[in-house]
Amino acid sequence: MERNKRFIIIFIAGLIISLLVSLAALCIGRYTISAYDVLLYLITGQQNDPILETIMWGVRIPRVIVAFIVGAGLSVAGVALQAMFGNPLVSTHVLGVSYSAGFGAALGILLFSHFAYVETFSMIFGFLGMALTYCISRKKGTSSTLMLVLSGIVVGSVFEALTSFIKYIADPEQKLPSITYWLMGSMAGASMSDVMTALPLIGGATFVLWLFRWRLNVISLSEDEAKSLGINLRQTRLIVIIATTVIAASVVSMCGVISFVGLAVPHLTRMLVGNDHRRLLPMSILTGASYMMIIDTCARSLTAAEIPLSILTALIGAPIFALMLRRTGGAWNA
Amino acid sequence: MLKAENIGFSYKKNGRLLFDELSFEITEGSTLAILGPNGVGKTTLLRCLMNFLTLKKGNVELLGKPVSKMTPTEFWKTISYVPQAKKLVFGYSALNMVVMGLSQNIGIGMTPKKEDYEKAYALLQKFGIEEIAEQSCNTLSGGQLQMVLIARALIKNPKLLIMDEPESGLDMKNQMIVIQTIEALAKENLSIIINTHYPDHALRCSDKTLLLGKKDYLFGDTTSVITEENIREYFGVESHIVNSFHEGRIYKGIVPMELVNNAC
Repeated sequence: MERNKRFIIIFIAGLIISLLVSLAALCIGRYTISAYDVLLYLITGQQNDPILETIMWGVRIPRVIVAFIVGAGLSVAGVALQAMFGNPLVSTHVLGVSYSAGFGAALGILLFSHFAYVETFSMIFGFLGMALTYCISRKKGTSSTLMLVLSGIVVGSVFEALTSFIKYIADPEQKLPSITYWLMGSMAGASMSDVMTALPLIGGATFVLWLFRWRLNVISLSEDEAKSLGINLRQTRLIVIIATTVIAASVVSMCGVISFVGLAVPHLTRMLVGNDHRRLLPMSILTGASYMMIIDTCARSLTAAEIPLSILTALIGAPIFALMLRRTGGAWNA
Repeated sequence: MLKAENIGFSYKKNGRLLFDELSFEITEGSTLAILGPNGVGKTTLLRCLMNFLTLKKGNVELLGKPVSKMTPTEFWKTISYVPQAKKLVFGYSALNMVVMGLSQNIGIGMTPKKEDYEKAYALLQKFGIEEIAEQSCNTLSGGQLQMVLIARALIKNPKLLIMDEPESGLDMKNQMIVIQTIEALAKENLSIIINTHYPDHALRCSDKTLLLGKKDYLFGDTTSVITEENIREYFGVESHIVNSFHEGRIYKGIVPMELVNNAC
């Protein structure tokens, strides 16, 4: 079919662009390395520069991989949640997961200074927040999307308040800056061990959502319709909730709260390939990853100090998003 | 085919029952129209029949088997639901929308096959709307979208079709298209339950009618249920039922004249 061909071309173009972006991200930084040197090192292991290996494995390769999986994960989670709620305004923040995971991280920083605790705490609280949202929304065995959204807002605001409380009592000299910094998101601490924990979690969850790509089309219709089409709605929803929570909690535990990506990237992708989740889901992996790699490269190279990610995701993303919205009028219902 | 016995439903735990002690039956290959004034619970009744809502009383049997004991898979193999045509949140193409009717057979990790698309396209052809196959559902007219939804319901070859006001909100021509489609489907031995606002449409294409009122209900052959007296009593409208002949067939129409004086 004509449209299939168009999608394949866009997808391959996206693949090439994301590879070029990752190459550029490896080259750009406070210490610029030429693309030739990077490629030569990656392919043959030959170093034209003595500190190449340190920069590559110590900083840039883990960061680029983390940015790739974080961007891909957040946008896939956004796509899946938008389908599940049948609402294009939704992202991982809606289930309260980002807030509860953020609270976990803040608590971890307050109580301990070792980062392993911070990650574990934010993971545990991410799931706790999700479980709370789900329990509150379930009334007599039924669960409507509206109840789920409202419970998510309730749980999210409780954890937001708790986070504010922690900030209030935290030591303003040492703890408070690092909590604030964490809550705005950063990949400065990315290491290969982060990649090793996050890749199976986010990759696995993304794969599960990919398996549900057709069902995502069906559950985005009204509840009655989805049921009448023979879909086990509760099972599908539960799996989408768990998969997106895994993604959101792993992201927060690894690099803090990153806003805007889960909302904007799915929309940008809709404008490219339409709303069919069989195309939207794989394509949003590429767009989300490219977007995040660009943002993270800017974060570490624009100024001498690191810029928090959430500032850049919105500052760079919002004008692009606004421009695209005005030009296409939004593509979710076209 | 489908038999409801003494069913009752209420949204609240111990609240007023929206309908109570309701019994009716639809035989294979026949069409049942559900009629009644606004707010009397027509859509609620349909949603109860399809297990979207749980009945407070009574039981429903499908092909001689209690619905409460059926698995959703078993149930939805026999029944298809045609919702009211309204704008989608995400615009899928008409063809994809029709293929969604086969979702029950599409397991986790699978997507529709080529044959599925061929089946869907054939259905659109049957309805004469194949040129909109690749068009987004949100760019279709109300009538076209309704036909797409009917095609989606038919693609899995159900035995019973449940339609919620399929012709409301459409212009005269599109209403006629939907009505004639219902008639044609009934001839193919499909059982149909249709929820409608228009007594004329019930007269035109249903064998049996369930007329719901605030206090009681009537169930029987359409011609004996839709009468001038019953319209006066249930709708509070004074009307005449007129017959007109066209090419050897009698078409019945309802001419409403005025509100009954003591109508509520």
